[in-house]
Amino acid sequence: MDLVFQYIQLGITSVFEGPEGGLTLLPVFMVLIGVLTGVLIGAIPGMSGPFAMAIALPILVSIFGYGNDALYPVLGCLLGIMKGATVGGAVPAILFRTPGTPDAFLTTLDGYPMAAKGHARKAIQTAHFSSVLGDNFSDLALFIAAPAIALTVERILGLPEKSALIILSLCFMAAVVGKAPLKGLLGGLLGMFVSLIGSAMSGNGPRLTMGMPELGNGLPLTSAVLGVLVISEVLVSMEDIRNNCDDASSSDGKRPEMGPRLTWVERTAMLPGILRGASIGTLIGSLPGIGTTTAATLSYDSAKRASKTPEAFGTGVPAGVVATESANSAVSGANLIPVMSLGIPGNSAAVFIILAVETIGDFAFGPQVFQFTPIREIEGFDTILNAGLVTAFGIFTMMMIANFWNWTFGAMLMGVLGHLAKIPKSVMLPVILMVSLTAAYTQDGGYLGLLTASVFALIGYVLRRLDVSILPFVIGFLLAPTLEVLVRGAFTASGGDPFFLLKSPIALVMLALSVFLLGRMVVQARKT
Amino acid sequence: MRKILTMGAALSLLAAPALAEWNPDGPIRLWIGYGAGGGTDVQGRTLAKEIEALRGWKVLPENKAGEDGTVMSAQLKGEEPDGQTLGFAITTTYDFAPMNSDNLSPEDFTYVTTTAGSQMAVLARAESGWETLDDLKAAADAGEELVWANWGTQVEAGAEIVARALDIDVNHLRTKGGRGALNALVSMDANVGWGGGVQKPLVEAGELNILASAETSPVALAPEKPTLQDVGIDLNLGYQYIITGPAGMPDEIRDEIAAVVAEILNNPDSETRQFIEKQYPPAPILTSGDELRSQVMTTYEANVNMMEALAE
Amino acid sequence: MENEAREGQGGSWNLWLGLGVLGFVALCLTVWFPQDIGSGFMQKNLTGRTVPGDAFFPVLLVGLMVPLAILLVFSQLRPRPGASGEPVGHVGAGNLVFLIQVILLTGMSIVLMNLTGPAVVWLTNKAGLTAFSGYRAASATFPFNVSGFVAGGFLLICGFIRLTCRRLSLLHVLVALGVVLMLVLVFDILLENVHLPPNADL
Repeated sequence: MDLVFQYIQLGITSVFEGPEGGLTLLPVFMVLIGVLTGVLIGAIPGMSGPFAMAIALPILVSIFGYGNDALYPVLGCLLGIMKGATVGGAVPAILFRTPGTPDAFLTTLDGYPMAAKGHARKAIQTAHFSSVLGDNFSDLALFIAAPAIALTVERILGLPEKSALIILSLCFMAAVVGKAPLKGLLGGLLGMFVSLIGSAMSGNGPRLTMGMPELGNGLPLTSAVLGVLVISEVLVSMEDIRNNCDDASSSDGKRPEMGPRLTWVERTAMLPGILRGASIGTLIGSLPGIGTTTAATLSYDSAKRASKTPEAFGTGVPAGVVATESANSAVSGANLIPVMSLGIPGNSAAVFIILAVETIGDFAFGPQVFQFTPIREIEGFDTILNAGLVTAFGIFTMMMIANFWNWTFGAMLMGVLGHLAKIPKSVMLPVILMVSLTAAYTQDGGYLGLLTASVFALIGYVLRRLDVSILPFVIGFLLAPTLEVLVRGAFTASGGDPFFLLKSPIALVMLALSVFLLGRMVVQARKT
Repeated sequence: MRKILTMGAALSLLAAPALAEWNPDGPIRLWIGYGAGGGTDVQGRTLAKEIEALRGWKVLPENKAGEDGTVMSAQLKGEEPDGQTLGFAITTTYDFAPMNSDNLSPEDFTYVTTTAGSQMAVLARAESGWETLDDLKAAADAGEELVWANWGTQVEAGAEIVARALDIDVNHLRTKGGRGALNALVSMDANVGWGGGVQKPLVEAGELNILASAETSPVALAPEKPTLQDVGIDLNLGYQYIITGPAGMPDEIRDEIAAVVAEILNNPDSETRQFIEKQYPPAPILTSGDELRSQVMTTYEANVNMMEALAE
Repeated sequence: MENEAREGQGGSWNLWLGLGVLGFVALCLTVWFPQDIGSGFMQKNLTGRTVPGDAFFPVLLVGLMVPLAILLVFSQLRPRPGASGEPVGHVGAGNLVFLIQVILLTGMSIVLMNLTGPAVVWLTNKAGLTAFSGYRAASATFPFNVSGFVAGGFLLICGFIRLTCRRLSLLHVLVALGVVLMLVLVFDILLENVHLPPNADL
C-alpha cells in the first residue's frame, strides 16, 4: 500500500515538475486553457468536445513537439476540453433550446421551460453543479477501476486472449452503436482494412500502396481520423443548412430572465439524483461504444420513474436537468477506463486522447502501465520505477485539476455564455473545415495528409448519409495494427496451429460472446 | 592557364577550409526517415538547427517515416541531386533493405556522411537471470521455449545465425520497430531480443540484461560483456546514422555538406554532439565520401552472401 | 419529413451495399492483393517454419466481410413479413451534386495554393524586386512562402460559406481573411518547423 501512495505522490508532483526539476505551472495552465476552450466550444451549437479536441491536437503538437515533455501540456489541454465541453453544452440548451453539444439535447426538456419561467440562472447552476459532480464521480470510478482491471488483465492475458478481447470489443461496439449493427460491423472491418494500407511487417516492402511510395508508412493517422470524424460531420451539416435554408443558431435568441441563484439547500436536495445519474453515466461510459446520449436518456427515464411526480418532468423541474447533466458528464471519465487499462477507445473523445498519447513521447496506454514496480533508489545512479505508472497518476492529477477549474472558472464562464450561441453555424463550419485541412497538411506530411483527410471525409460522409455509425470504423482503424501484430504473434507462437485462438478457455469465452453478439445482430437485422 | 587556376583553387582550399565552396539556392530539405519524436528525429533536427547557425543555410527538416528509412529513400531517389534534398536514415536502409525491394538499389544514392553508431546488443529480461549467451543456451537445452523479438528481416536473420551457432531452437517474433521489440520483452511476449540503443533506460533501470554486443566492440552500457565475434559468432549487426542524397550529386556539394557536419560534430560544445555522446556513445562516427560509399557497397555484398548462406 | 421519404428507398441501399462489398472483396482477392502484397497468405521464414505473411490479415478481414454482406443482401431479398431489413439512409442525386461542388471547390483552392507562390515570385522577379531562381528557392522566405496559402485558403473559406449560406456578404469575406491570416500567424510565425501548403511538397 505504501508503494501505491509513493506512486500517487510521484504522479502528482510530476505534473508540477519541469524538465530541469524546477516548478512548472505549464500543465496546470494548459488544463485551464482546455477547460475554458471546452466550455466555450461546448456552448457553440455545431461544435462539440471531440471536434475541438481533433482540431486542437495537431496545433498543440506543433507548439509543444513530440518529446516526453510535451505529453502533459498537450494531454492536459485535451482533457480540459473534454471536461469543459460536457459543461458548456447545457447553456444554449437552457437559454435558447438549441443544445450546444448533442448530449445536451435532453437538457432542453426541462432546462428551457425553467428558463422560460424566469429561472435561467437556477437552471444553469443546476446543470453546472450536477454536471461537474457527475464528472468527478466518474473520475473516482476511473481512478479505482482502471488499475484494478489492468492488473487483472495483465496477469491472465496472453497473445490469443488479447486478440480475442479486441475482437470482442469491436463486436460489442458494432452491436450497441446505431440502429444498423451489420453495416456497423462491415464499417469496422473496412476501417481495419484501410489501416493495413502501407507498411508491412515481413520486410517485403510496403503493401496495398497502389504504387505510391508516400503511402509506405501507412495512412497518416491523425488526418484520417480528423477526416472521418470531423470533416465528414462538417460536410453533412453544411449540406443540411444549405438545403433547409435555415440557420438554427440564429433563431430568435432572446435572453430570458436570469432569476435568483441556486441555494445550498437546493443543491443538497439534488445529491441523490446526481448520484443516480452519475452511476448510470459511469456504468454506460465504461462500456465501449455507448454514448452520452444513451446515458442521458436512461438516466432521465429512471429519474422520471423514481419521481413522485413523474408528470412534472418536461415542464421545467430541476430534477430533469440533474438527471441528464449528471449522466452525460459522468460518461467522459468512465470512458477512459477501457482506454487506460486496455488501450481500447470507447468513444470519439477517447479516440483523440489515444491519438495524442500515441503521437507524443514514449508513454502508451495498456495494462503494462499499471505494474507497481518497487521503487528503488541506487546511489550515484538513478531511481528505478515504472515511469508509465507515474504518468498515469499524473494524468489523473490533471483530471482533478480540470475538475477544479470546472468548479471555479467554469461556473463563472457559464454565466456569461449566452451570447456565444449567436455565432452562425454557416460561417463556423467553413472555418472549421479550413482549420482541419490546414492541420492535416501541417502535421501529416503535406498533401498526403490533406488528401487522406479528404478521402476519409468522403467515406465518413457516405457512412453518415447511409445511417451507418462511424465509431466502429474509427476504432477498427485504430486497433487493427495492434490486432494484426497480436494475431500473427499468437499464430506463430502456437507453432502454426490454425485454431490458435481457440486454445485458451478465456479467449474461447470471449470469442463465443462475440459470436453471440453477431448472432443477435443478424436476428435483429431480420426482424426490423 | 587552367592548371594554374586549379592549383590556385586547391591552394585556397588548403588555406581556408571553412570558406564555403558551395551554397544552396534556397532552403535545404532534410528528410528524416523516421517518425517525429524518436532518437533519429531529435538528432536530425538538432543537426539541422546547427547547420543553419553555422552556415546560414536554411535547413527544413521533414519526417517521412516507415520501414527503417526505406519509405523516405524511395521518394528521395527521384529528387534532384543538387544537395538541397537530403535524407537522414541508417546504413541498414542502404546496405540491407534494397535486397528485398524492387525499387531500391544501393546505387540509387549519394552517401554524404555518417554521424553516429548503434549500440546493438542481445537483451533478456533481468528476472530470467540470464547473464550470457551460455545461460541462454542452458535454458534452451533445459527445455525452455525461446521467443526472439526482431524488428526486421536483417536482425531476424542475425537471430537465426546466433541460434544456429549456439545450436538452439528459437521462435521469431516480428515487432514494430526497436521499441516494439522492447515492449515484447517487457510484457513477456518474448524472452530474448535485439536492442539498437533504445534499451538504455530499461537496462539502466535493471529491467533488462545485456547478454552480448552485436557490434565490433563491446557496448558502452555493458563494457564487460563480450561481442558476438568474441564468442565465435561471425556477426556484426551494428549500423550508423547516415546522411544521403539522390545518386549523381556532384562531389563538391557532397564533400561540402560532409565538411559542415564534421565541423559541427567535432565541436565539443555542439548540441548534436552532446546528444550523440549520450544516446549513441561514446562519440560521433564520421565516415564520408568515397570511403563511406565503399563501406555501404561492401556491407551490402556481405549481407547478400549472409542471406544466401542462411537460405541454403 | 425527409426521413420518411427515405424509408421506402432505404432497402435497396442495403442490397447495393451488400453487393458492393462482395464486389470489392472479389476485386481485392483477384486483382489488388496478388499485385500489391509482397508476401503471400503464409510464408516460410528463415528457420523454414511457416508463418503468416503480409496477406494473412487482409485476407482474413475481407473474408469476414463476405458472410456479413451476404446476410445484408439476404435480409433484404427475403425479409420476414412486416420487416424491411436493416434501417438505412440513402445518398441521392442531390447529395452527389453537393459532393461534386465540395470536391471542385477544394480542388480549385489547392490548385490556387500551388500556383500563387510561383506566380508571385515570377512577378517580383519581372519587376526586378527579387532574383529568385524559382519558387523553391523562395519557399522559406516570407511573404512568398505564405502567399499560396493565403490565396487558396481565402478562396476555400469564401467558397464554402457561399456554398452553405447561398450568399456571401462583406462580413463573410472579412471573416475568411481574418481566419486565414490568423492561421498564418499561428502556423508560420509563432511555430517553427511547420510547413504550410504547398511548402512540404516541393
